[in-house]
Amino acid sequence: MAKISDRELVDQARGGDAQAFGALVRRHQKRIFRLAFHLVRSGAEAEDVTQETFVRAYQALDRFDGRSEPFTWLYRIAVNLSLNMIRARKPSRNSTPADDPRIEALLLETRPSHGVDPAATTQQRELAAALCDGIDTLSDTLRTTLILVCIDGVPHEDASRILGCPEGTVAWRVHEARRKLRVYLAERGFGGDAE
Amino acid sequence: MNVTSKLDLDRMLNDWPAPAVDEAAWETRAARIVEVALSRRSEDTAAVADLLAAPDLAAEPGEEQTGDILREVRAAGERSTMADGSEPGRASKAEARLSGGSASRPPEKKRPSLKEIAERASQAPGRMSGVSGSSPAHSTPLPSGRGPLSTPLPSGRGPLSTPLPSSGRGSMPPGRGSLSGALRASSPSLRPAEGVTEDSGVIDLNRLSASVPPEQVESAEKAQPGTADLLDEDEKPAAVAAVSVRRPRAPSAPLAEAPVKKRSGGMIAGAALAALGLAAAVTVVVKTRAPSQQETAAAPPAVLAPAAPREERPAQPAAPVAAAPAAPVENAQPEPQPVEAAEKLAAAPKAPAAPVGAGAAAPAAPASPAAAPRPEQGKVAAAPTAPGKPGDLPSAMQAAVGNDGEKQPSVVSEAPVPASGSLRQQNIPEQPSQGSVQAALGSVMGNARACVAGADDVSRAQITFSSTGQVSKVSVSGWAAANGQSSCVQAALKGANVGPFSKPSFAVSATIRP
Repeated sequence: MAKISDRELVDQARGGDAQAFGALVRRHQKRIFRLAFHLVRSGAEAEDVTQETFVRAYQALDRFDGRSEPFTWLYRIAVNLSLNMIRARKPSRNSTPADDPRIEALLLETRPSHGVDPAATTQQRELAAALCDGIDTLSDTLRTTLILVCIDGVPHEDASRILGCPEGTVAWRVHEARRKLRVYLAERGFGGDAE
Repeated sequence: MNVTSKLDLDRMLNDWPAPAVDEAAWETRAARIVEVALSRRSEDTAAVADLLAAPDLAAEPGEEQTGDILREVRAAGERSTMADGSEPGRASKAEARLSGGSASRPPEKKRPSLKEIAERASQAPGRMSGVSGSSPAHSTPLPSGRGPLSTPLPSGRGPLSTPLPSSGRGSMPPGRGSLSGALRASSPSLRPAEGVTEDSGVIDLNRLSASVPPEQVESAEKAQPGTADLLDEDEKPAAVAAVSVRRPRAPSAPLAEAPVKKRSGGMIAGAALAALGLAAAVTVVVKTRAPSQQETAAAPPAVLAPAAPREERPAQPAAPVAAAPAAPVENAQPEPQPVEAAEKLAAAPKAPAAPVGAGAAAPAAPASPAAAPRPEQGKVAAAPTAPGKPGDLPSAMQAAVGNDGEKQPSVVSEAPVPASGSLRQQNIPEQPSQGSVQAALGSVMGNARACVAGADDVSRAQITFSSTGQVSKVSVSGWAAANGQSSCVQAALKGANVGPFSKPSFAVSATIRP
């Protein structure tokens, strides 16, 4: 299962190989979409961010110096686009709507083990809504770092490159975001280990 | 999905997917993205530069107060400290974003340099207050013929002077030995040369000693530390009388009160310890020279110990060992009472002898040093109690510590073991902290992802850590298991290490997304 590396695909795409760029898109679009989805909290907007990420990356292929991995480069573009989109929005809502797509996604993930009990399902939904609320109350800095590291599973080292901050800062932000999130959930009766 | 533990929260976050989209939709999206990208290749490239920069995220309050969190998180898990990191440029950028930033940090307090310390030390009381040594006008040239570190060693030391090492320490307590009259006559405001030119860190002790005022030199000359007597008595036993005669003059000097205080407590204890050491050494020497002592173990050592000084004191006043116990009491009483001296000598060895558990044997230890200087009397009891060969070093050591001295090593050797064991137990957590688990998995997750790159579904791994912190077992499921990438994922995750913990094992699950 020998695969062409991302760097090779970037090199080929830089030389005008559209198929190589297509392979790069297919390889990373799910992760980019997932990241954008959690950042902008909307499937449609996440789809726009994903497309724009690759388009901008394609425009800037010549600027890719190869010092970092291509996916961290794509991630940085996606984070910037998502933040731009969030900041361009009107401050509209104060709480997570019941039809937040993140709640559905989270319930879908856990449904096989709990879906048979309506009471449990209701509790799961409340918990998911509280979790989304808690994440949304975080600052952009903490929320972005939390989503990158905890939800998307980006290592601290890569997250530090994406966010342009030291690795220690990433770790501190993750710790702080989790602490605040835990407190938020504890105040609403979910979990009792608020610090 | 019960958020009762920290790992549950992490699991919720880790397992949080995006809305499911089928493969055909992904393929359609990819094709459209490529098409749009190709069509917009040449437009608006200037705006891309902004997107390639680091995201403009404001620093959180508290970020500037933290240390290097990575090490902290790996070590302790949950303590929140953070550092500027290893990249100075980024760190400065982050600091620049702070509202307070580094400018809000209090300026570091200026520390006194070695130069200033040397100047203060060389200043005479009541004159030249303040740091003024930086001015060349305050420095007085050294007497001719004396360069730095060229001070000759004291040669004409009297019987009271402490021997100086041969390294030329001219800056011993001023006035000691043969600080020449030329030095004393020199200006007291003499400053070391390095104090006026540059702070090289080297202190010219000779110049410092030269800058001491004459009255200090004189008072210091009269004040002798306790060790001076001991050392001098070793070399010149006959000087004991001279000391006792000359010391009463010390209180007449205006600055001689401090030495008197020094002599009172520490001097007695130091002299007692030194006397014990000398007595033990003499015991060893005596045993080597008098093997016939084994025949003279008739009297109990506890009885002989206090009696020994009483008999020997008048007989050999100039003997090195006999003179040593006299040092602590010579100031108070020119003719010390031997019983008190023996009690003081016996007091020190009792402490180490007590843990042995032999109450009767404890006084035997002081008996041996006290009786050691009398090999000719044949009544020495401590040495003969040793069952070893005469002249043998182990037997001499055994005699010095008493009959039950062989029990001591077992007590001593056992003591540190539980201490270090409990210390180790305190440092090892029951289970790895969440931070260390995250850090360990984060360090290997990149390799694991490389194994499932291009996968259309997630893979899961159950990682079991042994108590040493290393991965003992990795169970892979999901896409990697279905596509023959289990070994690759296992190999990648095997490199994780969470550090030692006390539980037998610790398992954690991880989701590996492509």
